[in-house]
Amino acid sequence: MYADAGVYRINYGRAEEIFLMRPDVVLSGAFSKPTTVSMLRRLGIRVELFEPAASFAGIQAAIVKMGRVLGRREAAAEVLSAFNKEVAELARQPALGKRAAMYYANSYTSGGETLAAEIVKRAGLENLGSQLGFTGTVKLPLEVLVMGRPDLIVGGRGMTKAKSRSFEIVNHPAVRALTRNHAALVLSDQYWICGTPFTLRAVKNLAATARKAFGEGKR
Amino acid sequence: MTYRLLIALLTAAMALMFVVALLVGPAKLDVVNSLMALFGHGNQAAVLVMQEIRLPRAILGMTIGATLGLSGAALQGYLRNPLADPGVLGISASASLGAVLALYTGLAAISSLALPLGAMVGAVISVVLIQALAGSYTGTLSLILSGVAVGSFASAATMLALNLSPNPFASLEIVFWMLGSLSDRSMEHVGLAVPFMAVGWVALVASARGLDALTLGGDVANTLGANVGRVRSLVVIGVAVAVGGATSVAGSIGFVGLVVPHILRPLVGQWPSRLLLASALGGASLVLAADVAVRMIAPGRDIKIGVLTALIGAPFFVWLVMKTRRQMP
Repeated sequence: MYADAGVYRINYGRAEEIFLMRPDVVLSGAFSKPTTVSMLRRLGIRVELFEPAASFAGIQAAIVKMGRVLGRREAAAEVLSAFNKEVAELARQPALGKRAAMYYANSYTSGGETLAAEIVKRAGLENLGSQLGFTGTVKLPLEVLVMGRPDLIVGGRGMTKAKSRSFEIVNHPAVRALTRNHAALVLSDQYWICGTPFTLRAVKNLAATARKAFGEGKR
Repeated sequence: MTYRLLIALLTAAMALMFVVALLVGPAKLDVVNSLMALFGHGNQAAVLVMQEIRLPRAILGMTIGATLGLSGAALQGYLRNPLADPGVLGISASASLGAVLALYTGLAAISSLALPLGAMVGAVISVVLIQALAGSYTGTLSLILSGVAVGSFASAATMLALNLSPNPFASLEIVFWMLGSLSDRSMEHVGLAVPFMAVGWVALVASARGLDALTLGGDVANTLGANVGRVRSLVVIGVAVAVGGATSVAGSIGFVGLVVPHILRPLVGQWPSRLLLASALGGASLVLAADVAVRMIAPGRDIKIGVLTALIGAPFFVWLVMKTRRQMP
């Protein structure tokens, strides 16, 4: 997919360079710089903002919105029905009844109302962060992770090879002891980050790993 | 108060804070279960929490606090300047820079020793630089200004290195290196830092007699048979090795080395040698107490310990500057 992406021109989100491209419409994340967005709008360019999807409902809404913005409602409807079909297939899989804990760089975890929590749920697992009553992406003290006795830890993987202290936490002896004793370790990847139809791959990969680790549907 | 009584009290305070530090944490464990888990009894998760998370944190709090207190006392004695402290003089910041360069260039991935060694090299360079800038026995002002210059440069270079790192998380870690933290450190960090700190302590304690002689001035100390050059090497190397080890695993925790010797100096009399042990014990108690406070104020939020020591230390520093100014002719 990265080869296909190579034909697109990269921009760094600066109003000047975007204006010079003379686009018909600008698609932007809701977290882009508001000054840039308002300047582009002043210059008469249509800017459509997309909220990062925090749930499958958000992904579905974004697919519909993208179809409307680009004037390709039918194509969007096809993507949406394919997505819904796969979601329905996933829902037929038996739940594993195992507890997963997200544990990313700098000891962050995903509580309820996050895409990661939805991925875990759709893969037939329980999310420790949601069970502890967290919402959003918050810090999870290492002690609380250990006491939560997760069956599976979803760790973050560095996006680059460049070193950083942030990822040391995933190698902490306490985390290593958990994974040595019983918990399976899964590394999150690019499919976890943004809510798109490809998010289903994250669900499938996680479900497959969990099934392999704990046996088919056994408790 | 006799010296022996003071040392006994400080030791008791440190031991108390060490136990409290082991008992406080976001995992809700009661006292009995915590202590049983510490020695490997009870449920497996609790044992992990006590042995792999809280014990290394408490050991690092104690040893790093001792290092900072001892270094502050030795620097104040050697420079005969009440404002000397590894944080104020930019030694901790320079150690951070050394550690950051070792970590983010990937040297630390080749050998874990690169981290404390990098921090040590940073610390040595800063001490030598400050001495060269300020001269050996000149006034407070030039010393502090040199320290500020070296510290600002090291902080700026650290931020630059972290901002330039291709890793998106690196720039978030500026806070850790500037303010220090003991959260989620492991026994591996203890094994990495404590030997360096211990070597530094030995060098600093060996300088004790020389420091006493130095209170009478460099020339008198020489005639008394103290080797000023040797004292200087011991203090510079001791501070650099100990602070380097401490900073490489916990970032730069400020003001401990400034506050502790000042509080204890009136209690031990004016002998720098007596102040060393007292400051080490006091520093250990202070850092352990600060780390407990950080965890009690906002459990699970990971407030940096340096925030708390600065909240105590900065007003103290202002008071000290005003006092020093009044005493100046």
